[in-house]
Amino acid sequence: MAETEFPVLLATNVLGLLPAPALTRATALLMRRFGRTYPRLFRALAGHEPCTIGIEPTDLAHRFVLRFGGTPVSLVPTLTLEQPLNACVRGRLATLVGLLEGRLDSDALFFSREIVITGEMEAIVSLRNALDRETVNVFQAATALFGPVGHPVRRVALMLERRLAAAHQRLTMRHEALHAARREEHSIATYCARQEAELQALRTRIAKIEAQTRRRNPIGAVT
Amino acid sequence: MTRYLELVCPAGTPAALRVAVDAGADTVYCGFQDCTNARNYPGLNFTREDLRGGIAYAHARSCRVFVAVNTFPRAGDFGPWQRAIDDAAACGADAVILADLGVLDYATCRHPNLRRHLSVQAAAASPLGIRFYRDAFGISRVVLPRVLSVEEVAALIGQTGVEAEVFTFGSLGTMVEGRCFLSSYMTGRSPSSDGVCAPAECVSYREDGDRLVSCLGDVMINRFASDEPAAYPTPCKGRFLVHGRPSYLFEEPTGLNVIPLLAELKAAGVTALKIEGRQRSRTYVATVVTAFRRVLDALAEGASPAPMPDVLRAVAEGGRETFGAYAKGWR
Ligand code: SF4
Repeated sequence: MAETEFPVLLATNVLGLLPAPALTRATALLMRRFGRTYPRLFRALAGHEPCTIGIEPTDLAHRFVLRFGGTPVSLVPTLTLEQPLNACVRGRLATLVGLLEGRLDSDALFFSREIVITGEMEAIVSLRNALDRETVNVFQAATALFGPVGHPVRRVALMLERRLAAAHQRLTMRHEALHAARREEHSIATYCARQEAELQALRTRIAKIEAQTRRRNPIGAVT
Repeated sequence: MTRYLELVCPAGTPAALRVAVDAGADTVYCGFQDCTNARNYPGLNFTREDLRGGIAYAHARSCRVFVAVNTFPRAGDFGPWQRAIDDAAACGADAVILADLGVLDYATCRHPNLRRHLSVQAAAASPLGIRFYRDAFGISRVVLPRVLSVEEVAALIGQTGVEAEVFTFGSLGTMVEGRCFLSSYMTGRSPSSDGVCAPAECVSYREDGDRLVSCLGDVMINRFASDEPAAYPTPCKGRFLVHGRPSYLFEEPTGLNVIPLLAELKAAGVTALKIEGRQRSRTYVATVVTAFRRVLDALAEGASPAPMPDVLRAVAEGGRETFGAYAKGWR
């Protein structure tokens, strides 16, 4: 995995385990780091009309509220998206990070329904275009939060991601094998049932033939 | 390697410009951050400083940059269009893409040495029309409307002697360019003067059970079932009730892709191929330009065209592709 890629399995696990206050603190720190690394992006968003966008990663329990325009850019985790929103984006965490980093085409994902966008489009279009001007790297920004140990943290994170990916692959293969065995078991049972039905039909036919023969030749025995 | 056809690629941002140049564009076209071009979306397009930087980047890599100033000035408000032409010239643009007679005249008088291309927005589709623009304003190239068959393209080139640039990939508008009022009626903003069809501030999506509903202003444009590809609420690609039944009245949401027709277009005398999509992401630009570069290089080497890459279907509007008018039998 290239270092620019995002360790999505690790992130999903870690984010899933983090208690809400810790996640809120981590997100605030990340946004501050983003502001320092991508000042042009933040300037562009600050010039927008105030707006609130809900972000719903479908593979996480947390939701996020992104605010920009008028106030400083903020990203706040929440459990539900009940407040009034200008727009909402829903998709898998890896897809959302890919969009944030400009590695994926938002329109193609929207056409194929891999992401769902609802609400007013002006804010979404402005955000997409502002992001598309930058080369945002979420992983780099997140590990930079660890200061001088950022580089080793990055290496450990990538190693963990590789291990998780391998474990995930093994699990998927076992799951598939289990399904295949079940399908096989199921097909043997079906085959036996069919054979039994055929045997039963043959027995009935033989019995009928024997009865007919007995009727036609009541004295002779059937050999 | 000899060039098969010039590849003219879109850039909505400086990042997209760099991506297009690096992916093998011969030319990149872009516009300023205002109503002077037909992709006036929020956060898109170039400041003057962006353009200067973009041109320097492109020229250093032997790539040309065209600037679209292709909308129609509003009465009494010619300033933005004048400034756009002057600044494009000052930044070192290789050509300006124009549609309006007044803008063409201004560019011809003020910047006679700046190449002038006739935009698709001018909808010049007859030999008389194109010859008029050539003789009156010295246009070097015409971007042909997307309503012509390959035979008609060939005939026009033969009768005008003007370089022709044709659309080969991207979104399609079904109406005659520069003369469509569908979006204006629904939103109050004109694609021809404000430079935006289905402006973002009028677009909204909502979920209705497992369906996705797209609206432009107050008008519902489409309702997509969960297993259907979604599309923008562009009025000409809406699904409307006709005799009580929902159907695509004008055009279905599909994207143009004419890779299999490239040899025919070259034989027709076409000079340049245009990829639509300044409003799309830099990933779209990278994907499409890379695919076209590969196909054109193969054709230049005399190889048979590679099979149409699936990756292009994924980025096409509505996830589907069409040859558009180039191969419309009924025409
Ligand atoms: S409605 Fe369709 S044809 Fe009309 S301006 Fe918009 S895209 Fe073009």
